Amino acid sequence: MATVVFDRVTKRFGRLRALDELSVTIREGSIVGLLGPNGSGKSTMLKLIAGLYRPDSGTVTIDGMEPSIKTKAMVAYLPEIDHLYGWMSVRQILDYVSAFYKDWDPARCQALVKFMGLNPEATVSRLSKGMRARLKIVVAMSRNAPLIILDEPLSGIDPPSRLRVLQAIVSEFREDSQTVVMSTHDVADSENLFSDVLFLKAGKVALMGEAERLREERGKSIRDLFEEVYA
Amino acid sequence: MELRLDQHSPIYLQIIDEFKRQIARGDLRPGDRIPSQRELAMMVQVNPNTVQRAYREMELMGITETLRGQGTFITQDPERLAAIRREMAGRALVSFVQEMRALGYGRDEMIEMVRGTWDEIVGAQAVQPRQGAPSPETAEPQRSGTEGGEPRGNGRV
Amino acid sequence: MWWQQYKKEILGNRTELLILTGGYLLWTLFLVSRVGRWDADAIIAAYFAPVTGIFPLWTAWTSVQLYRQEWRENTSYLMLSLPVRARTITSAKLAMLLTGAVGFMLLFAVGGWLIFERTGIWAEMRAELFPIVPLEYRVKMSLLVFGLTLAALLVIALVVQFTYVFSRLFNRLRFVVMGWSWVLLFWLMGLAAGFGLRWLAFLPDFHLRLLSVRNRIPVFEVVTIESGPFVALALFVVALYALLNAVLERAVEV
Repeated sequence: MATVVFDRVTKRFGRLRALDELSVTIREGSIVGLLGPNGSGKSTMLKLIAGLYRPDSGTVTIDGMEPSIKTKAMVAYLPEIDHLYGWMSVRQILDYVSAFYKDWDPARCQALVKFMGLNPEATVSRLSKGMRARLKIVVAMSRNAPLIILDEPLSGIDPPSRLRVLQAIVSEFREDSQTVVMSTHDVADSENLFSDVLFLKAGKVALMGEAERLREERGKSIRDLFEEVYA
Repeated sequence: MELRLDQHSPIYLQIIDEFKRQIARGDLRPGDRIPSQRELAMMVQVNPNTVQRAYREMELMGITETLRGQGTFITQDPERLAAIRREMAGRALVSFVQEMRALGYGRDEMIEMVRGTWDEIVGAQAVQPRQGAPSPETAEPQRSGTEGGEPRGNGRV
Repeated sequence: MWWQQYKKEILGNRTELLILTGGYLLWTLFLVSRVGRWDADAIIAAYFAPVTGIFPLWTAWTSVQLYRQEWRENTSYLMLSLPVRARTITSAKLAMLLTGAVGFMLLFAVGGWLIFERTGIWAEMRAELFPIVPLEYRVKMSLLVFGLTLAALLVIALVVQFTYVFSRLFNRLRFVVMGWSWVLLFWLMGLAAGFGLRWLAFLPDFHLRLLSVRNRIPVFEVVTIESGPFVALALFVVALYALLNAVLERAVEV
């Protein structure tokens, strides 16, 4: 399990401040919904956790450590874009990726491939968008990684694939040993999944809290709150 | 088992309510095994912690019992079950009466209309009884014909 | 882990490797088929001359491709999120290049022999040169040429890879950055060699026995070569490699 802390993190791209003095703590054992429209800084936050971006100022720490090889071994990262080698077969991808992680669970991987209906011999570049999304979730969830970060895992894929992806997250999530941070701009499909939600707006926290408590206190769904925050 | 989550109130409360409703209707019977927490979480894509909380509360309320290694079961305690049924009936009554009052009906008028509707629906059903349906007393007028005939309680959502 | 990375580089570039091998084989066979129709010298020139350009160009081009592809196909997201030191990645890429280079050189040697054999030059050499040049010397010189070629290709590869990775630190004008850092690095290498000559003169010299044949009599001449510049260049290359790893591990973003 891992705690992620952002301490006054700023990340600039040219003149744009993707993250603006962002301070946030993500508690262990939760599934955090990282919500916000495009360009609110969600993806930037996740890339900072994965160690693919470096902050301009402030610090990001995972269990007290700044992103490094050690934290990369703890993080299972699913980017929004297709990051897997297109020329490889599904089996080659899984063989390749698994070689780098001590926490890879072959049995779980096999079960997930079956659940997702993936053909191990299929070439990645020839898979449909939905199937590629399924493969990405297999790669991320086949590990006993303390921290799983999913960047828009449901974006732009067919409804059956969405359902499978959501089910895989729920079935493979270990609440006693894992933390999940998942970004999405589509709240309706996934809001029941989140124990906590974090709304980002122009690189700052607009609202953060436990999902159930927010529903109770405000008498509103997270989706309605989303519309309220970004109105 | 159908879970219609409206998301405007805490999910765990809605899960508990759904179980209560199904017990009151007879869709779930005393001693029936209910889905494991992981199964339910997967079926409705809800955070496992939320399901866990709902199951814990139900256990505390005496609605369910968990047998180690065997699963979670609906309680066999008749008093507990009767109480759940009364609670659900009470809630239905309150919302019914409120709605009718808002429409401008008075007490006696309301009672009279209930009698009439009862004869209309339950009388019609008595001619062609549905197989496997719960006893007419627990049947709700608006239920669709197929639901009552399904096998119960073992993981179907 | 390293092995998987290496396998990925080889398999990921297999199309280019196969096309190049196929092209080379066709060219060799074509030249062999010209024996007797073309002048032997022309055939040999046509065989050996292109290689001096193609080899370094292939090395430089592949060096850029090995990294550029990762960014272009977004696999840099995977590459940079792997929990490995940058040297695992960079050494696997260099090893892929060296594998290709060694493969081509062996292929080239076999092809060269075939051309010599068919044009009758091989028989001439066997009759006139081999009896007077010791086998040991022939083997030593072949290995030296082989080793120096590899070293030169490695330097080209490393310089080009560094310039590409370094240019990733900039959002615009990457080609300009690449070009200038390339020029700068070769200038620095010249500088390093000069420094080596001056400040590392205390190091023992290399002695190379070179053979020349005069009137069918072999004569060995000992050539003395200062080792300073070579040591300085080697140090420079090691430092450049360390810098490449540091940039990839600590500075570059997806």
